[in-house]
Amino acid sequence: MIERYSLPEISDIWSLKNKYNTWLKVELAVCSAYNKIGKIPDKSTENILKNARFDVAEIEETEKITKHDVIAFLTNVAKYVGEDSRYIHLGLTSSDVGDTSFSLLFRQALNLILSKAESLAESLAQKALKYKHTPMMGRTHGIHAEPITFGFKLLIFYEEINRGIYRLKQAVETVSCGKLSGAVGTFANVPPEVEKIALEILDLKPLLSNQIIQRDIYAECFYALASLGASCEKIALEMRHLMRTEVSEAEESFSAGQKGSSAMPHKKNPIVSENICGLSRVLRSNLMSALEDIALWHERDISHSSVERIITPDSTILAYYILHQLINLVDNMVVHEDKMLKNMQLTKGVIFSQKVLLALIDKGMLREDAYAIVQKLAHQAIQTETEFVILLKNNADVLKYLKEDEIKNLFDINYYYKNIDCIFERSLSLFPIPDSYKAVVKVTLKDEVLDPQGKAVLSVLKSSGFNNIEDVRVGKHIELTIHKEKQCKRKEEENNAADNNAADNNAADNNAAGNNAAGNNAVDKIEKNNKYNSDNRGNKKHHGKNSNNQNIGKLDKELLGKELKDISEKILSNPLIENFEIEIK
Amino acid sequence: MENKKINAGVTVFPGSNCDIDVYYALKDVFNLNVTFLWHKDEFHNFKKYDFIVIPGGFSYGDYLRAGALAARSRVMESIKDYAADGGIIIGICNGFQILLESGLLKGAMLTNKSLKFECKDVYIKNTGNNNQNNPFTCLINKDAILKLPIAHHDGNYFAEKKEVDYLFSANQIAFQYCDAAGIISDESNPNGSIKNIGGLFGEKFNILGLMPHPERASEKILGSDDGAKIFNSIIYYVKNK
Repeated sequence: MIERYSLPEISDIWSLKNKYNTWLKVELAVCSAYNKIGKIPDKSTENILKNARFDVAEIEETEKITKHDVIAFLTNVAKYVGEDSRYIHLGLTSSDVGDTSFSLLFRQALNLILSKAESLAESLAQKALKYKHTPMMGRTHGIHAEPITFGFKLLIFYEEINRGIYRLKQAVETVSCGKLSGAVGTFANVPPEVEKIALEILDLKPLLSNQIIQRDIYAECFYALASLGASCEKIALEMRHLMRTEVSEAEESFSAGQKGSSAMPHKKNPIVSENICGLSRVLRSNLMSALEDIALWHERDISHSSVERIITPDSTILAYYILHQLINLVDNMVVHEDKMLKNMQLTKGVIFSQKVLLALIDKGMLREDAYAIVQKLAHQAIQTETEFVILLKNNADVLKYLKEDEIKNLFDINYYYKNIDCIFERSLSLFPIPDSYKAVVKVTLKDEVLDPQGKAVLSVLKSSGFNNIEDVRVGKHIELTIHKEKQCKRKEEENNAADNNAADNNAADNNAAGNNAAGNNAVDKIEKNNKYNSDNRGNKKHHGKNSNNQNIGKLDKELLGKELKDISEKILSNPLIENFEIEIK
Repeated sequence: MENKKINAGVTVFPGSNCDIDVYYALKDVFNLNVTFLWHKDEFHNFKKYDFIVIPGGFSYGDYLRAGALAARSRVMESIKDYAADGGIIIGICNGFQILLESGLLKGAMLTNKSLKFECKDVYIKNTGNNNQNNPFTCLINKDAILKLPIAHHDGNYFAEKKEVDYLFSANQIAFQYCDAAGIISDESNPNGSIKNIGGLFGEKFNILGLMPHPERASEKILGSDDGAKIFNSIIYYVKNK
């Protein structure tokens, strides 16, 4: 993978050094297994385990001659082990080591991606809860449909990413397999017992193999990555739509000094989202190659190997990068709640058409007739830019069935949100957000403060022969588990006092608005939705069970960082003599 | 006896182990009324105590840093108010560490330079303010030498140079470790404290942090009664203020 998209923590997994390290791990597990069944003497095993190592550069030199990587590797390890090296690789074929290691490396990469995906899910949940009551237009086919909330949209993403996490976990389970059964998998030169013991050491399951591990195993991993990528693309695509000038409901954060276009200074483009959409295409095309790797000749051919050398690092590194980018995007996105409300008013209230239709039917009008009237008036409202509610109130047929007051009351946006709590509760009980954070605070003595403990350790190191150590400083590593809910409750209590005044003012404003707007139209109703918003936040008693979830969402990492800094400064360290470092996990 | 009228408070934390020693000395040697102050309790009647002793020991097992956890206890919140009200406080050994951690005195304690628990008699010299208005040294001559026992692992006093210079200029360095002849040197420094500092006054001189244990040297039978000079100063000061 090109450097631009390679984050070191994941690309390091695919380094030559890590590959040879993993090969060595497998070879040593096999030696231990042979030792257990009495094939390799204790003393030799001890020597192998102690001295087996390699040098990447030396292996590369040897490979130029052997044109075979596993043999080059074994030659190099033998150099460090000596005579006992005859016990290494006993009865194995290269693929025993190569494929078993491949599984280990793939698992290592998937686990890293998994933790990133979990972090993305959490970011989405936090934002979903934050915007749980933020009204916006629901669109089907790109056309205004009925109201939703922005949090609802994000909650759908949250569930989807959780399904992606589930698939990743499945893939980890599937890829946790190895084979140490010799040339064509018949255990002719290596006893099944050795495979069993060695794979147990490596925490892998055995599976029936010929020369290689069957490639459907890995194809499943590539599917998990491709489908997770597609879900990320879906979120990014939504952001691109919402960021379009005509919509302007949300945007990517734009940092100081950032430039949108070399030609047009006004531009702020959805570049992160577009980047994600592009890269996820690569994940999908790599899946095709992985599927094609399943069908090989007889007991194996080597046509799959070159493909895997490219697509495995590429897909894992890209998936990790996509998640990394998307987390930043979600954490820092700018949401224009006012523009969401404004856009809802674009269609003059026709978004309530279904409610009007159902009310007319309920009052006795024939469905066909009701549909025709409502459709006609709704289209007229848009064409003539007249409020739908006014057209209804002026229509004689409608008035036969509905009083003016009844018509007015149909234009109530709260109707669409009556089950929003229930929806959130269901999702969050299905996919609960982890309820605590782990943080590590490292406390070290300041440079200018003498550290007698460090000096004592230094003298012991020196007397033990480590003469190259120049200085030792001893510090403290403190692990904290912070329960989100409790922490948030505390924050909320602190904020409540301040909020109370504001909430009172809101209520007064809303009453005034209600009284003035005698000819209530849809626009009024939607504007009043601000009230819906603040009411729900202020009126916590109604939300008994849900308030916990809301609390969890309100805590952002910035706040947590602030509090940890406070704790570290005031209690965990003495700033006079110590420095501290905080890491939130 | 007039002494009966003097009331002393002695704080008790989990891990305090000189609280009884202090109680005994104040009650039986100096004939005062003594009350224990439990770490979980607040107190608001500051007039009730003529002075308060924060005794030595290993409050909270010295976890995190010596004195760090005790400094955040409820009783210390009251003691901070008591100090602001002008109350007289002497912190001995771990009590000194608690005073530092709670911010009532400037500086911090590091592990002894020797890395050992130092338990022996040392000499300290009264180098600080000792005029009649100082509750702790009003009966002790300037530059007098006291022989007192120490018993601590973290008594290596540290503050930035600027701070130390200021403390000296303000006469807040109460006692410095010295030898029997009064010479202040590295040899007579039992723990590596910067400038041999063994005792420190607060900026209003109503607080003393002291690493050696005066309560363990308040009767001849204990080998020295030099510690009595500090308690007698406090008693004299309280009676005559």
